[in-house]
Amino acid sequence: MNILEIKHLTKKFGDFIAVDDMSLTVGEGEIFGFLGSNGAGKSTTINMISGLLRKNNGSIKMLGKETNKHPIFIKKHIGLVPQELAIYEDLTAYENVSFFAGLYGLRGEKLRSRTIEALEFVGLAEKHKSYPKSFSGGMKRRLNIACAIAHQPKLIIMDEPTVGIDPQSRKYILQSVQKLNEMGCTIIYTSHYMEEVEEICTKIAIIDHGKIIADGTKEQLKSLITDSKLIYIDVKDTDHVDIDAIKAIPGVANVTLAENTIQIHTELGANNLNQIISYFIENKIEIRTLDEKEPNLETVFLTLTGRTLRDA
Amino acid sequence: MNILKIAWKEVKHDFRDIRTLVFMIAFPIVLMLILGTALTGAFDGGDFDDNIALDDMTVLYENSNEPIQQPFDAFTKELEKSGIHFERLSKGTNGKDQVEENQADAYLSIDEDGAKLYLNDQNSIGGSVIQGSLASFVDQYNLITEISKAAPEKLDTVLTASTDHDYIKDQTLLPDQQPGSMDYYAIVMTTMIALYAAISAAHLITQERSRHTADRLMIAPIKKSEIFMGKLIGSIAINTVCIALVVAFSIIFFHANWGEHLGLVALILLTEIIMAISFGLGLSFLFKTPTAPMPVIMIVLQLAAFFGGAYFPIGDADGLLKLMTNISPLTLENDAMFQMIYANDLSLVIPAIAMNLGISLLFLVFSTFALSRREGL
Amino acid sequence: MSKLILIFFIMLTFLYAAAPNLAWGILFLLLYISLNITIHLLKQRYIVSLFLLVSVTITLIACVQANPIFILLMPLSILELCQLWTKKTIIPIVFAISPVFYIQQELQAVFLLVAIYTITIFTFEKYNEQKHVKNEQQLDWMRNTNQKLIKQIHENDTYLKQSAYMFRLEERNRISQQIHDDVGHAITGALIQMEASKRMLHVDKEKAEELLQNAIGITQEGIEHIRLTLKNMKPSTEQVGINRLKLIIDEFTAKHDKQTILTYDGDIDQVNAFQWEVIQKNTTEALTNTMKYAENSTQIAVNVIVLNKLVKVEVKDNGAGAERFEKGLGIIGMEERSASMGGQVIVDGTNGFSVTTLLPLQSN
Repeated sequence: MNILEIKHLTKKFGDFIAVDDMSLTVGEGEIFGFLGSNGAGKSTTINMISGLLRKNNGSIKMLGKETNKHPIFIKKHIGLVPQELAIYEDLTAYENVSFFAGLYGLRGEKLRSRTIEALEFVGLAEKHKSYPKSFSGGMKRRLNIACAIAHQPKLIIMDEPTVGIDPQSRKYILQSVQKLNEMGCTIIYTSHYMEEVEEICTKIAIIDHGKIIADGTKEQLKSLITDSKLIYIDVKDTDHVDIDAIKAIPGVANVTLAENTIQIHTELGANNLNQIISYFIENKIEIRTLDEKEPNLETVFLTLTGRTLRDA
Repeated sequence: MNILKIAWKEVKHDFRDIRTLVFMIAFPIVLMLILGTALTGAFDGGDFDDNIALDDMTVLYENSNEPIQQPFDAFTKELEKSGIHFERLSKGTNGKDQVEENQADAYLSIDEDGAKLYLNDQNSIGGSVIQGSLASFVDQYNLITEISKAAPEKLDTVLTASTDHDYIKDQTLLPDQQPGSMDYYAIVMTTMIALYAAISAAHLITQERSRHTADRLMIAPIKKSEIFMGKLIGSIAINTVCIALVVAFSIIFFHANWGEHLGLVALILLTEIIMAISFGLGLSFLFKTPTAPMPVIMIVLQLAAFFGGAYFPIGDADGLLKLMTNISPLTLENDAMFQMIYANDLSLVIPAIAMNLGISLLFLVFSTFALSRREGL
Repeated sequence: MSKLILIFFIMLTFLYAAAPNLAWGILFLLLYISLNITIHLLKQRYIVSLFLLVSVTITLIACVQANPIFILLMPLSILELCQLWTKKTIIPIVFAISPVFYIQQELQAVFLLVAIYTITIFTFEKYNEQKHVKNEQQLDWMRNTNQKLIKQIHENDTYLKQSAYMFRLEERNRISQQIHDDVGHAITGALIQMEASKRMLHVDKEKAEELLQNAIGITQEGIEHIRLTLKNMKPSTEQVGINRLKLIIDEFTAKHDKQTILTYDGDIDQVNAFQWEVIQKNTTEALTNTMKYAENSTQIAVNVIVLNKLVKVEVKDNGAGAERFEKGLGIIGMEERSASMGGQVIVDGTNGFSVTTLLPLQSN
């Protein structure tokens, strides 16, 4: 079932078209990644989904209902982790989470237990009486997440939740995203860190200039540009290398020799590295180095848009 | 429910913002202390010395309203005992000029439409005494005329009874009931600091935006109006508490005189706070950037405070100064307060409250309109 | 606006007169202002009338309570009220002037003046508003027509494209027909003659020679036919695929003083004719755009890359680019063309101006 259906969504700021005729669907239980450089229109799209911005055109349906016709219903099921920290520095961690959860109609004992749960989830339960002023950047980010999940939304939208934090906190956050997903949440995750998206997302949309350039699983995206990967094997001497024998290994498309390096084109997902290596071992050819060049999302993005994720 | 949650959150914010709290409470108290003690001498009733006896005063009068002559004579006779001499204006002289030249302390002109009193400002206690007495007289006279219309046969009793009236006592015009410098500043500082609520109000919405929590509030399943009302109520509550503390402090430690109508005093202050908050909120919607409203608010506040007599009483004014004084909302607030506390005269209370609520309404209507048009908060 | 002026006038009169009921006056003014602001927010006729009535009442109360000068606000409210219910102009005017008989002598002149001034302004405003509405309608109509025309142009465009392709198909049919008719017959004829000569070779040498000569003649004729047909019919290689693109770019370079380079990579043959069509049109459009918006650029690179599942064509100049640009008809046209093939167009102005067309290859 689709939790979110977007059709021909358009948003203009004056002459500038931030989101341009965008259509996409997010299925229930997915971790859907929005991959794009800064200013590609990710946040604008998210803000329209969560109802912060009005759309100029198109339709957004969540759980089968038009968002602008049932705003209160839709809002109850969305949790937004905004790009910027959105917490009150002069309220304690507990008060922050409890205040926002309270706006979702939770009260009394239920409010208290959900607040504690959310804080525990992000690992801040012990700090619940502290003020965010004393928190590190990563802890603030985690509190930012806790504020968005205490009301147990069906769809959690995370807008660059890992910007500017230490690797440990980042890892923690990525793990929590996956944990939330396992608990049944659908997640929309935006980032311009390709590795994060590649690591956790089950489906990815590449967004540029307000348009979806390509979407699908990461394998589908990679296969857009190529079906093969390159394996470079440096050997001591190439005299005894039988190119045809290597070519006979399933999945290998082409083999070329250049000085001491053997370049092997092999199909993506052929899983034949073991067979290739065992060929060299069986024939007692000494491998000096082995290098594998597989296309990643960065390459996909670069190839499709002509720019890297970080510039522009 | 949501409104209350948001209001409560606002209150928490403000109580934890020590700087603002200190400013709102300590600033007026310190100013009261400094100005109140430093400028003691400038106020006639400043030292509570009983020796201040009223000098004899001369009031010139002119009466073209015949029926009033009899009760008026009785009235003047009574006041004669207190050293206030009434003299009929001699033909060919201008009463106002006499007063201006300090030949007389006051000039009273009575005709069919009513009585007009011109006071010499150099003798402000005296002026108050005459004014108060006269007000009391007019009330009495109105009573009499009403009775004469309704039940003419009882007129005599009232008239005879009234001659025994001590007009001055009736007005509680005791010497120590004059506003001392501390009393004066207690009131004007409080009304001034109530206006300062506009500053925190200007931040109510912009701060949510700059903290990015506005987004969180907007995506929660609550209405914009609930956010707006919650913030308004929270802000009114916290500012009311601050002002109440200031008033309580001035009563307990400075023994400032707040009169007998504490309820009405509170009402005026409350409506003034609402006005200030609405003004601040309105301005924050008028400007695009969060910092722009501040200078405007500060200028308006300072001007209002200055011309409203928060730093020193502006007694006589004419021309532009008078215009400015009249425009300052504090003038009306303070006048209403002083009239109520020292002259027992409640006539300015309703206009003051009405003005406060009127201006509030204006800015609130504007804010609501602006808010409904805006995307997000 | 005229209300504001009136209010300002009343305020000034008030302040200068230092009228005794200043506070009341201010209250009434404020009430009046907030009421009249609210009126503009309302839509239903009944509620607006209600508010206007309240505002008239307030004015009346203010006249009695605070200062007769408030009567000056009356004509405007009456005019507004009447305008809601009647189209005639004379009735509101009579109503608006009527209070003049009930007011103080010294105010009458001012009142008349204000009333006339109000009526004049009001009538002008109404007149202008009607004109404005009319203009707006006309504008809307023109916009609609414009849109229709643009759509028509696009449709014509597609039609042209389609018919060009049909034309080519027909041409191809004709060629095969002709080859079949002329050459096929000739070769069959020659074959029969040669078969005959083979049989006659040992029987009648002369006859065989003659038949062979005949066959040679027919074949020669056939070859000549083939040559002729090909010469006439064969589309020049410049007109398909990458070569066509080259031609377009060469033409462009010849006309404009910009160095334009075409590079390509990958298996060009996977791109079908329809896709080439889109690529060529988009490239022409992108080049035209560059001429318009990147005057200071000196180089344009056109890059065609055939990837695994899609073909990417990028037209990029080395000019200043543009952070923000308006999406013109040109870009929209490119987008529509690409969308018809399931593709995308990325226009980017961050580093020079670049137009990238992505088209999915038909899975084979």
